[in-house]
Amino acid sequence: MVHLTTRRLNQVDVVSNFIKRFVVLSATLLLLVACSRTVVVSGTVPTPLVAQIPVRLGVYYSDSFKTYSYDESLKSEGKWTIDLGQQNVLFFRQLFTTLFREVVELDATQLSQEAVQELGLDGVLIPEIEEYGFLTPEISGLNFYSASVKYRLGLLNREAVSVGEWRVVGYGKSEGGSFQGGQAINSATLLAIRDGGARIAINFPRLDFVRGYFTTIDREELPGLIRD
Amino acid sequence: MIRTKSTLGSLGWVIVTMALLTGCVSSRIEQSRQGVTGIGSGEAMVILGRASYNDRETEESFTACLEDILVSGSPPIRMVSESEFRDDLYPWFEARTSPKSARDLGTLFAQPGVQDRIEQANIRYLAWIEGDTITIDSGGSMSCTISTFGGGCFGMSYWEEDASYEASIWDLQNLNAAGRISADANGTSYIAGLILPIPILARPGNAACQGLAEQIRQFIVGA
Repeated sequence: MVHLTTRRLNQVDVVSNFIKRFVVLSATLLLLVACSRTVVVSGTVPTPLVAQIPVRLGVYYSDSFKTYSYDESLKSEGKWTIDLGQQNVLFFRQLFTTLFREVVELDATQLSQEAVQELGLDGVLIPEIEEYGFLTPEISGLNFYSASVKYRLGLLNREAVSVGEWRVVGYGKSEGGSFQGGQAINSATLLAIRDGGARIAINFPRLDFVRGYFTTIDREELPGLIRD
Repeated sequence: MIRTKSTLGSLGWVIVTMALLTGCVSSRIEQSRQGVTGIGSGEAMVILGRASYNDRETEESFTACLEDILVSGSPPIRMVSESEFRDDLYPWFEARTSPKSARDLGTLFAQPGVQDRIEQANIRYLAWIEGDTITIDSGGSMSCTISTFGGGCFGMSYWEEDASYEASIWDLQNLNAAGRISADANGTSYIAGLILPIPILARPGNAACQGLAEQIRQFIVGA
């Protein structure tokens, strides 16, 4: 009888401990979820209204570009994860196919002189994200969220040798309430991509090293299109 | 009959209460014309807020307010929305790429497709709006308490707002600046705590919007 009672008490303890652990674990998980936010940047950016440059370019999107994600832990707001790689790929595909007559997407194995010449490319563009950052109203003291993306655009010639690199920063900001932070960061990041894209569409073909390189390409229409 | 009187009485109270709860706003509108204006049937106008990267820039709600007033009223003006215009002409009207003065319009229209797209949309005028509404003074104090015996608010607080906006109107047909209109409005809002908090709100931003929109309409129509 004593043995049975002890056993039953042990069973009650086990169940009680299990419930306690479950409650503690659930509370911890809830706190962790409440203090971490993930924003997968999405939205639409318009097609640029620019003159098409009559060149056939390869574009290499590295894995780091395609899967670019930014993590930051803020004391007051917990951890933020901003995933902007996929949105950048979608935008740059649209931008480059509008800006250049023919665009061929390359993989890492095709960044050689043989591959570039075999594909009949005039050159290769390599976009990268160098930096990303965002500010919340709590950090900046201003009443909006802001984001910036620093891009690096590299250009290789037909010999797969670097002709030059250009860095450009896109900036965006968006108003948002305390409970709309994710939405505001998405909007600010999308505007930063849009701003960076606008500067690339207008200024990239006018850069000295780009114009200098295009003059080496034998196309009748090119000189008129790459003037100021 | 009795019911009608009762309804009219309630309506009267609502009107009197609204009048009491609305603070006073003083506003001033100024205009300078640089050319002859007029708008044909089917021609449209677009209103763009000047974007900046500091903490002060024209609120989207202000340009939306101007659009709402101009698209209705007499005579109504056909409006092309800011987002549609910026998207259609991307990348030429972004914060850092847009023309800074009407003199840059010639260069912009030389870009492939820009003039065609504006002509397709039949946009005759573009108005750049700059300015904002800021709180220039505030003071007073009010405290609210709740207890088992009830609760209430006592005291008074106030804040003074100044709304200052300017519209630069460009003629996209003649590629020049047509003129400028500025609107300034100032008003003080109060909240008086007499058990219940009673707000007496002045809305200088709204007054500036209404004044500026009507002046833009007269300016564009050429009246």
